Amino acid sequence: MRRHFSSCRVGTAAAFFLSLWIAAVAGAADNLTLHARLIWGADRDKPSDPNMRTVEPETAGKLAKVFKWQSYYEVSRTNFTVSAGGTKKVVMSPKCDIEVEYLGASNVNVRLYGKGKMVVCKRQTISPGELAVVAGPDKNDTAWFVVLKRERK
Amino acid sequence: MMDHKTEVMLQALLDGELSEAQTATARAVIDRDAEARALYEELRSIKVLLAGNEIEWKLSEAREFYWSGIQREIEREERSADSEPRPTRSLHALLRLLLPVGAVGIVALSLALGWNQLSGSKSNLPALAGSHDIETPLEDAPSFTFRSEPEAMTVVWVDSGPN
Repeated sequence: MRRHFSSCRVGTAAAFFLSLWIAAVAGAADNLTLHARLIWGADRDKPSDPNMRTVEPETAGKLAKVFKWQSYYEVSRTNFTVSAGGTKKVVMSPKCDIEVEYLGASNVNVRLYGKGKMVVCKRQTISPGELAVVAGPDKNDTAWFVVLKRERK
Repeated sequence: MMDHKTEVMLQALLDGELSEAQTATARAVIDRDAEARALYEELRSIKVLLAGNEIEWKLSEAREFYWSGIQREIEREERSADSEPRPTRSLHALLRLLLPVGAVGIVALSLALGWNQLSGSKSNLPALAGSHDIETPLEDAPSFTFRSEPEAMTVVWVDSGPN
């Protein structure tokens, strides 16, 4: 009985300090800064469009190790910040929008819109330095990639 | 007019499925019956044509990427099918210790979330640990998730998307 009573007191004390820590973490300011890029993957030479540039080797190398295409070209890029509990929608091309809802603690809802209609909604985790990619096939055996990268702190 | 049984026998001869005795019988039929001989030659031509021109089905993505998506889906289903182990007597003391911890922790978390809402937050969802992939393909676009640990990359592949 005495042993049970002391273990409850220890548990209650631990609970008190744990609750203080949880309140501090959950209430802290939490913003998410992302770099978004629309990339086109193909097995051909650089397109003639002067606005498209070759993706840097670091990112292109990662994509090439996962996907079959060897050449990657950047169509557009944008940086944006989402606060915890907030939502941000950015335009990647005239036919492609991406919307990010930040749920806190590296968890996001990513919604992809094609021609104004939502194509897919996915909840996932984005850790600093990692890539979150939404991709799909394009004509002539090419592919499109929306690459989100979280800024390292 | 050839009967169906003879037709099946000729097909089986072409596929090498007959015994020696049955093969001899089938050969005899071919030798004496022009219709059977014509059918056998036609079947043999088709077989040669298909073997030489079979279309190779290629995946639109790397093989590892494709099979990783399947493996990940299998593992996810296996995890959800696992049942939780029942606590034994030796865990009762630990549970008595954790109950007050859990109760106060829930209260603190609720207070913190309530503070977030008062300060203008729109989301009512608590921050969950780990990745919970929930697919909501509202436009019937089939998709699956793939994780590459070496490249620190999570991919959502959508079978149809914007051009």
